[in-house]
Amino acid sequence: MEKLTDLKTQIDRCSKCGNCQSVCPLYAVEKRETHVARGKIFLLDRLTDGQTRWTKRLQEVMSTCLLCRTCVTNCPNEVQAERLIRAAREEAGSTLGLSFWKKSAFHFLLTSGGRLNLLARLLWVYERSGIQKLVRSSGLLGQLPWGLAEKESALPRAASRAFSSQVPQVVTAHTPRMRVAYFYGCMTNHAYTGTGHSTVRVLTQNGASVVLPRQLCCGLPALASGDRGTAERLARENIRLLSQTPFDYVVTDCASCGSMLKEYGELLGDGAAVPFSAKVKDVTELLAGPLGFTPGPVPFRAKITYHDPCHLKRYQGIYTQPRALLSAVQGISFTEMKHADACCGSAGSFNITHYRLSTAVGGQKAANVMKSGAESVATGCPACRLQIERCLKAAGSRISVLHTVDVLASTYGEV
Amino acid sequence: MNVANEMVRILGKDRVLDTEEDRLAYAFDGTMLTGVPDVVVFPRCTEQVQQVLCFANREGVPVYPRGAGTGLSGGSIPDGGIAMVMIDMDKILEIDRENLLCVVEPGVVTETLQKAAEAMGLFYPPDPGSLKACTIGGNIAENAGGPRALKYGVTGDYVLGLSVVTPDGGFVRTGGRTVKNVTGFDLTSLLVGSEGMLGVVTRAILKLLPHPEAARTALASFSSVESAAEAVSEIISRGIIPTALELMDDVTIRCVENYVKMGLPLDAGAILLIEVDGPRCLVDEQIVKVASACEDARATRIEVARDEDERDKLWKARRSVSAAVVQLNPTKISEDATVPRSKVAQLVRRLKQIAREYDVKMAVFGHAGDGNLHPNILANRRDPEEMKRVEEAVGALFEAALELGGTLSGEHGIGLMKARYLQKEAGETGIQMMRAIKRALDPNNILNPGKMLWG
Repeated sequence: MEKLTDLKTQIDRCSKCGNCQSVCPLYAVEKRETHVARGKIFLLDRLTDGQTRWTKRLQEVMSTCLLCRTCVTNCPNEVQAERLIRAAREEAGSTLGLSFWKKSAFHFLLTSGGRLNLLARLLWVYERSGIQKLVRSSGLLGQLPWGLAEKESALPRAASRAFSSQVPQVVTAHTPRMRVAYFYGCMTNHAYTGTGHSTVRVLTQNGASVVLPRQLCCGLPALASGDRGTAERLARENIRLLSQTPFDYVVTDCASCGSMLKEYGELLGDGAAVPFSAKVKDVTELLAGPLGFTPGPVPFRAKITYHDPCHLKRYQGIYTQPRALLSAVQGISFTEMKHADACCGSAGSFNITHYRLSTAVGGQKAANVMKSGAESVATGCPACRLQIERCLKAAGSRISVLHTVDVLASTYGEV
Repeated sequence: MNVANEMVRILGKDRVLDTEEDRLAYAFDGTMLTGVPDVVVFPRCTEQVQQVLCFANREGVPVYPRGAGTGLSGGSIPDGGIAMVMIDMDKILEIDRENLLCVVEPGVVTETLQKAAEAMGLFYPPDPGSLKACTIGGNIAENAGGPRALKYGVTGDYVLGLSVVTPDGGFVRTGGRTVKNVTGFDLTSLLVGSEGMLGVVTRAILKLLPHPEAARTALASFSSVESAAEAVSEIISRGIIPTALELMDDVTIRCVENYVKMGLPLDAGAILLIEVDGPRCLVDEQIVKVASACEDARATRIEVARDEDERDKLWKARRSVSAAVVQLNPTKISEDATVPRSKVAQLVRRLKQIAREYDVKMAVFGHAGDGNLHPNILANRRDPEEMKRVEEAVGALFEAALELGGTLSGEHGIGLMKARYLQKEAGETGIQMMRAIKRALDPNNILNPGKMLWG
């Protein structure tokens, strides 16, 4: 466990110059020092010096961060703010406890594929049976406490059947050059099943056989909220499950899962986790790198732009690859939007716990997408996709949001 | 009387913070100094600022105005009382191309104004190091400078007029929209650099310039600071006033090279980063003259950027300084002692002596063209013995600057950091005069008490 007191040198390096203010997406919508890195770091300095103690308000301050790393990449003294804030959340969680909702979610749902499946089915029934319509029109949501009405609107649209139950355990390429284990993640599995099929298609078309082992949540939601125990448990279990069949690489199409899988080595620090993490690749990283990508014959006739997920660009350094892949597709007219790498404000469960701030940040993203003149926006993270879809819809836009691999897969024609 | 309740009544609930955590988040600026306010408020208009000050003046509650909190003198550090944060008054109200001016609220970020002006082909030159975060209000209060000051001057040179709330909640307009204005005392100049002690700026009329067409940049290495200083006088004696003349000493060079590996000469005694701007045909000519001036001053290497990419690469050396020097030690104490240009080499020599004498790690860099150096002491703030030596070294470097005919502060201001040295430069009568002004305008000592004059 990374203790705050072990990170004292990081705290000491902060000169409180204020550069973090100028890049923080939360500060941009609400200019308060508690939103930015230096404000949080000053509070942690006091805390670690024993001058203050953990309080609910301090925990709330630490939870008000997108962990987007924008301040980290712009910090003249290279303070690793997100490491500090994650360690703080962990300490807050063990001192004050996590909220009832988070605790239930991490311990009950995410640690079991079956229970998450069941929830996704219930959500599907809720959304498609007319109950959602009824509930929304009844005004019942507005009567409920905790801002449930807003939170309800941030829910993903659940798939009728999980992706994992729609595909065989192995899909072999025509002339396989490598074998990859596909970590599809919870969002692709339960909300964006189409992206799962796209990934399998693009990989096999380009010569990778795809194994789809049983898997659990990557553990990032737990880790980001300060529940390291659950995250470690999930990491160990995922390594065990994925390592049951041999693979050249572990591939994922979720930026968040990818960054987490790459962190398993550091998280567990054992002989199995380090080599496992070294083999993890984002799907665009694999296609633009060791596997290679040859687009199919069908053109994608649209003006398209690309949103950089924080977990791809600033956590994994991947931002040229998706652009290169998209540009290789026939018919595409690629255009950069302003602030393409600005956080969309989703940040895992932040869009549920801090709905108002998250929506304000997402609104700016939506505005930049719309100003770009693109007809579609591609991205590499299902969580960003959900957020951008929601915010574009709220702004009255019909611009579609796709995963990069959805665009690539479309070049191989209808299935 | 509960101050927080009263503030909520005036400003509304979402503009007042009073939990311990929120107050602590406004207890600091860009220095190591701290002081916790009793309540933090965010006014949105002049009337609200007036109401807050009316109340504070009546009840004797100190008010500490603050912008982005990036100051380097402790000028905005509270000591109880009300921290009045001006950043929510952040509108650019007008950019007047015909009269080359703009009207802004104090919370506008300096870089935001520069970009808005640039979009209209105009130029707001003052460029303090923190320009991405700092605000115009704070720039005015501290009369902030920046690298471009050599050619373009400091914030105060661009302030044409101000709207100001007085310490008792009254309101006054100073100056106006004209370049020339000699009507009455020059209150604008009195308020510029008054560090939030005489009034709170709620609106400013600022002068703009046409944006320069082009810029050219060169990086020259020298075996000693003396030759670099000679190059500076050579350049200026040839009739060129560069936009930037940035000096880095040997310690800084080694830190930067070690850190960014851009091929800086490790045996160099000093490096100068030189930039000229203006019409394209002129800067192309000037950069050649700059290079030959450096040659005549026995530069060991001269690089002239041919395009924007190369220019960016040369600036990288300067931009990396901050991150590079903290590799020596985590705590950075940045000073801004300033001497006449001709004394720069002497000042650097004295600074090196001081570093040896007090056994502190010091990197010297800064604006050689206007004599405004930034000796940065790198220390460990958790080591009280070392911090004591740092304090003594800082005292010695102020002495050195004054002995060389310079000043305590070129651009950071006095605030709390240098308050106890002010008398050395201003003299007893000088301080008494300033105190008399303060007493006349703020008899109850409401605005930013304890700063500058009460070292």
